Amino acid sequence: MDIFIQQLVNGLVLGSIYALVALGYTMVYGILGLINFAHGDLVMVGALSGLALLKGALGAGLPLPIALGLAALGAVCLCGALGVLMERIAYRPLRRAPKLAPLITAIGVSILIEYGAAMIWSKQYLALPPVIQSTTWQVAGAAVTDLQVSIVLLALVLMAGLLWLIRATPLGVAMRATEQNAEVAGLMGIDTHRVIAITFLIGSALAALAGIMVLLYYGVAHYFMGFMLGLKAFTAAVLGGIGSVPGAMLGGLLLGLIESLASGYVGDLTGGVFGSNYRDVFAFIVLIVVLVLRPVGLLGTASGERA
Amino acid sequence: MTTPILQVRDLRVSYGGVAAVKGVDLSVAAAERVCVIGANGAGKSSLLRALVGLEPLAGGSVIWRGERIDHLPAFERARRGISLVPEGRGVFPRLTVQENIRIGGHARRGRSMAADIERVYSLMPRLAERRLQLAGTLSGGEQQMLAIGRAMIGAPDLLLLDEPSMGLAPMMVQTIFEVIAGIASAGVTILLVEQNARLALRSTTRAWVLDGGRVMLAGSSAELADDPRVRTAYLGD
Repeated sequence: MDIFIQQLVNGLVLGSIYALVALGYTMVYGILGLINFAHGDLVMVGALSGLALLKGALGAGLPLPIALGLAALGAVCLCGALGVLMERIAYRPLRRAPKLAPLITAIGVSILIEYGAAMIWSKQYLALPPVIQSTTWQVAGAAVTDLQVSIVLLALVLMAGLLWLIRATPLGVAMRATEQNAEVAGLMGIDTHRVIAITFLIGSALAALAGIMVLLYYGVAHYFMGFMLGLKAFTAAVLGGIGSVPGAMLGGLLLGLIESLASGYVGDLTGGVFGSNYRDVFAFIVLIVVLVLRPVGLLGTASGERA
Repeated sequence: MTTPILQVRDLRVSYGGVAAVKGVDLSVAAAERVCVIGANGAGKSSLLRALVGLEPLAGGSVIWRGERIDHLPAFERARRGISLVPEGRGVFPRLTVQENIRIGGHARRGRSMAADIERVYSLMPRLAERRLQLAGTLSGGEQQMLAIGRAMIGAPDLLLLDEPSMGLAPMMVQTIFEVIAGIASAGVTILLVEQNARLALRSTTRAWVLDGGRVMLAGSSAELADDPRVRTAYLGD
């Protein structure tokens, strides 16, 4: 039982991070029909730039909360600019091109960002200086840190904010209209290029914050960390129904929970044949099962999935 | 005729080298009601799409209130007061009726639209009853009303309508054309494109007949309705 609760807590943290990243995939897919393979790399840029800024701010003698705030703000601005830039330079010229062209371009952008980051920050694993002093609470037999609680709470606030933006503001309605019919949205006086740029901006900002969370939670950042994380978050978006914003949230949380519980129990269930390092396998098995039973994903709709 | 608000000169549209509109001239005065009729594939829709910026011009110019607008993207033309109700209506199916209507307000940049929304609802009470329903669940006629109502919220000076009667029952067609007449009598310039030539000629004062991407005939709607060539080719007499 203790393991169960503990893995539930760990899974919630992991799932919150997946969900934030999955949102970027699903929003861009919804509006452009594009899988932006470079999205995971924005998480990496968020973590590495955040780390550099944090070190710099602490080196300048700033207190930790302010240094952390500045690092997060800087990472959000950098990733936001990078996201808008990649849309403008790499994807917008291909708006009327066959679907495969932007997809291949996205893979190219991903490689470009990864090796650009390697040039700036090296290919080493960079460790977070031991500045975060976590407080640990015992809750129902599980250890819960204040960092874990903060990550989950911040993720929930961000997701609630995003839902409000999309559901209740004129910008959100313009985003949904552009997603459903960009041509007619233009006829209504909506600058669809601008709406698409804002979509990239929001997704990239969320990715940057997810990167900061990963950095603080695991204490390490690396130029290639966005690859697997991006793949998982994309899986989460597909699991929830790609194109669906609540779906990405649900898919992210579920995938985090599944991975965590699997890594906690795989060893026991298989008599030690498979260890917790097989957790990725279980995450993808769940994905396959869901897609066989419900190809549009948990909250996806056939109409949301455009050819 | 007073100074035209819309002038089209030698407009050409082509799709991958195939010409759909081969040099069309037309001019429309403020508050006029005009129509373009012609058979399927005559270039009517291409003409409208080029006017609002959905198709690039292969040649010619579009002049709106004395200013060339053919280089402007569609959203900029909408904000200058040109509104198209597209063929097949183009409502946003997964937005509510209310959201669809409010979206029209993007074209008017900040001016309050509450009074216009109420006017649309009073003009089309069926939309008011369904304001929280998703637009995709409306009937074809209700969607056409929604598309017109949505365009009205943009407070356009020129309303372009692409086949508003298409696929609707006769009763509904009549209702839609009464709504259009109401909009016109409020001073909005109307440019109507229709395959239903009889209806189009009856609802307008001037008309152009398009064939193979060119203007074959132009004149007053009443004269064209009596023209033997129009009668045999488009009115089925």
